[in-house]
Amino acid sequence: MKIPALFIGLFITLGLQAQMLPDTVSIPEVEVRSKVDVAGAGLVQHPVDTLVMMQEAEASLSDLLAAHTSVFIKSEGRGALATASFRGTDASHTQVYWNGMDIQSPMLGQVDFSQIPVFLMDKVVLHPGAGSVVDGSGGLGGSIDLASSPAWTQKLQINGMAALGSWLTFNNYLGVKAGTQHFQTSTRLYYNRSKNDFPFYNKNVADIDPKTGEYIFPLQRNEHADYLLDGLLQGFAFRFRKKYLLQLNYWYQHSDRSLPRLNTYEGDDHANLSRQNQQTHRATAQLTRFGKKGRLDVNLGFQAENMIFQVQNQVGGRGYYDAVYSDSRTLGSYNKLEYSYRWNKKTLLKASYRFNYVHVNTYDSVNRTGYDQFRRRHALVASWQQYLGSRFSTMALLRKEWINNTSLPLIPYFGFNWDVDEKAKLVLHGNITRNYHYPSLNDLYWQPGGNPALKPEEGVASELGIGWQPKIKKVSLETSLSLFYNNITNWILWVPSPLGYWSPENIQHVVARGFEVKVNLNFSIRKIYFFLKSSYAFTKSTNEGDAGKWGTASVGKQIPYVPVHSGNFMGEVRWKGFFLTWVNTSYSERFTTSSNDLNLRDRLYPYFMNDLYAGKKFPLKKGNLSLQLKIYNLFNETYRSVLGRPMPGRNYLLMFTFRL
Amino acid sequence: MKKCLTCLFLLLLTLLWAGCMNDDSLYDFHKMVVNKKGHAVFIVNEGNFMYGNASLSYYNPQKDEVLNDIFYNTNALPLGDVATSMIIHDSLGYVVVNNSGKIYIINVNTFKYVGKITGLTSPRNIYFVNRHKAYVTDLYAKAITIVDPATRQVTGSISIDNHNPEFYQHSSEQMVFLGKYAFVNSWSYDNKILVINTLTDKLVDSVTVVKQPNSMVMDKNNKLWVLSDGGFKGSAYGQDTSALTRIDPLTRKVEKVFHFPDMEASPTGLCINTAGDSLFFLYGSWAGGAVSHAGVYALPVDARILPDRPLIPQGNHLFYALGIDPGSSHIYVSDARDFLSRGAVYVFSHRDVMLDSLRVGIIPGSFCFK
Repeated sequence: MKIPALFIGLFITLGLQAQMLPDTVSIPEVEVRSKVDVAGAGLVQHPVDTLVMMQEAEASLSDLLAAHTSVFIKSEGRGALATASFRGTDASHTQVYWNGMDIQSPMLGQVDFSQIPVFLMDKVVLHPGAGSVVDGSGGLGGSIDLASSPAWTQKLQINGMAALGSWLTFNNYLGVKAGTQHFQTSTRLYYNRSKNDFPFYNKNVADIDPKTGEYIFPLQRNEHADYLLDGLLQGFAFRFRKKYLLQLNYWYQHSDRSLPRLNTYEGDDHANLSRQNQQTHRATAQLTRFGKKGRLDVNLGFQAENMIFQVQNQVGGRGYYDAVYSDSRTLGSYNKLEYSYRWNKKTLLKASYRFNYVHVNTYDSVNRTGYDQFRRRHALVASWQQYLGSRFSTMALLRKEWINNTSLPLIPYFGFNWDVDEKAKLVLHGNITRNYHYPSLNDLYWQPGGNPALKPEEGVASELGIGWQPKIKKVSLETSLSLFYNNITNWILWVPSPLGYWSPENIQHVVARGFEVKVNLNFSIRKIYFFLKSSYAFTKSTNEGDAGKWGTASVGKQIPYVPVHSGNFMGEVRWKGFFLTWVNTSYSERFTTSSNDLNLRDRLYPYFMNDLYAGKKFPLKKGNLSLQLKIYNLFNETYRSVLGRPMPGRNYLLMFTFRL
Repeated sequence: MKKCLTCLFLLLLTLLWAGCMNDDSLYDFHKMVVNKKGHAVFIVNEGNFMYGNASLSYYNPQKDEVLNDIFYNTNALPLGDVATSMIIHDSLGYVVVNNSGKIYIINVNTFKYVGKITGLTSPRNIYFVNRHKAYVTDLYAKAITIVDPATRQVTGSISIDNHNPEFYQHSSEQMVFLGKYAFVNSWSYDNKILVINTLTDKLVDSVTVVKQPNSMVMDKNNKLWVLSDGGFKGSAYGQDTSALTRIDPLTRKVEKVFHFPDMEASPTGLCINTAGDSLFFLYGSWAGGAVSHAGVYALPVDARILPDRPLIPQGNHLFYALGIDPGSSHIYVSDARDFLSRGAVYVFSHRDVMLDSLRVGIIPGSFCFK
């Protein structure tokens, strides 16, 4: 019994830092013999702390990433669209995988992170820059791996949360898992909704007082911003014949939300009403066969999404007419066959074949526009991870892809890790890759305006970094510094034409460079425990396009909505089950024009957001309870995240958590 | 213990420093105070859709003076989302802000905001019928809204809904008046010029033209000229070659149709000079497409064929809007550049000599001559 379990454990450990996240299933018999971690060679990854994930379990992934990572989140408001971008690139350059399956919308080319509850995820790992090509192409900025793969258990475990927040916000989660030595089941249910009609003084519109001539700013509510998000995630895992592991996951989600109008709107109350309803089914099946030296992974993924976007206007007392009724159906199949061969303790070889098929059928029944298109993507990937000596490891990877009948140029990757000082855990790493991002199906076929002649965006990403975890008595210190350089050509931008048609073009050349610093510090003083986590990123992402096309005013300027400085800080104090946490997220000014014009009207001034959490954990015989109060926007500040959108003032969430 | 207290104190200090987003600074500033009399040109900058960054620019050709963001700088209020047009009536400027559902009214000398017309659906242009009646065209209301300029209230509407279950019709875009009739082009997924009786406020007739009529003018002979872009490739509504159509507004008959041979062509911005004897328009393609010899074209109203070369070639620019100064007959053409930065306006003599160029706001989309 112990030998196969040992193999399983060893391979799982090897897989931890590199490949598909499903590899990270925890099995009790894990035993690690080798210090050499071949699979991590030359890869940079930043897992989000599991304690932080537990604390933010009721939040959306966009809130988690904004507060605790260097990923830039562009949020259209509370409960509204939130996209993520790495290192000065666009949101479409962030690939997102769930259990190894690409969940980026093939239609829109991006993911709405406000629609992913943290509660469903057991791991969130960031792969900034070049490291994203190990999972797939297209992540010119980076990739995010999400995994729903709970720790193996042999008893019944129930956990959940009930949260009540401002403006009729209810976040409810329930998780049940149980299992034996050979079988695991995990069920997660959730139901979130909010009226989200927070009040705000609207200083973007005003009436004139007829007596004084002074402005009267209206106190308004954030109308038409309600949201509902519910669903379930069911997982099964089977271990059989001592060397097989089969994991099955199914995730269903229903989302229904209003899309609020801008705060400059003073039109008809019954006009311009937008709503989005989305139903998503995702399923993955992952079979792993553990051999003496080899490991075979067969991954199958399926995704189906139905999104209805509707804009209504009331017409002359005759009821509501749809101005837009767009019904978009997406089907996707994502498959991977991978073989890993451990040649010896220092060499790991991998080869894989991947096949993805996506089909989008979108139709606006009002304007009778739409398209029905598919995309087949084949990929062959080979990698060689090698230790040279005991401290220097390298990884070389080649990826070749075909999209429909088009062959994309070869994607090469090279990375290294060098353990400079094993005691101080001083590690130097570097990597470089070429990468391609193929246009989304909307980019190519949207009606009107889709541009089938678009070329793929091409990027070269490189990084050099150092990590240091010195051993200091009673103090845990973890630091890292990364320098990055990313050169992207044929950047796709949607531009309008007279009378309102939009069309994408390859018109931009962008160079993004900068550095990221991370410092984590944990220590205790007389049973008071302190946890401090901080990160800072300097990102210069500039338009290096043709001045003839762009005009000299825009060339050399920072890309809109990319902050030069960004950082976050989390400080937590724990004492006898009580805890107090302060979370700060900061961005420097973001520009909204390509020429970085400085005018007050369009100014997105530096952003400093402070949240405070306080609570107490009550240990039980088996499990624990906790009660927590979260205060968001602690200083009740009026602020902007994007133009024209109101943001909520101080608001509260009372959360009861149990784990039995 | 002292150290702990020091740490705590520093932490609190940091907290206080961190709470420093000063949103009020965007509104509490020294406002612009001016009194600009005399001839001038207002440039209406659309801004980006859903950004709420539309703006108004002012240009005095005699003094070569340009002022940008005049609405915000004077009033400490943003203009709104997608400003589409401006018209001057009784010394007041009416700025239509399409995606904000309103029309701002300003003093054209001081630029001060004096009132607004709100509660509209998707307004495009405003036209004054008399002192107590104005029509507001609309993309989505399926009606022309009637407002009283004196009270700035909506007083009624003229239904132009044709109950077509296949397409959202009719929209209304521009208006041209002759006698008691107003001629209205329905651009979006449509091919109609609607005829409104301004005395009864009723839709009385329509004229069918080439698909998607986007702009209209009346010439010196009281002939109505309509420029149609023909729609777009793949549209369920179908695509025609774009065309310039002459209509006799008295008989409501089409007299002449000039077809542009290139299916990629989407001409826009039909204008006429003060004498009413020369037509001007922008010849180009929707973004993503391309045509040969894009630019500003001129055509005498008695021409028998379309010109094959532009009066002002587009070159590296992205011509977006066109206007003819009724006083000087100078040609104003805007360049939207990359749509994400401030655009440009080029001023030409009627003989295509460039007289001036100016930087204005984001996506300069229309001109209003004072």
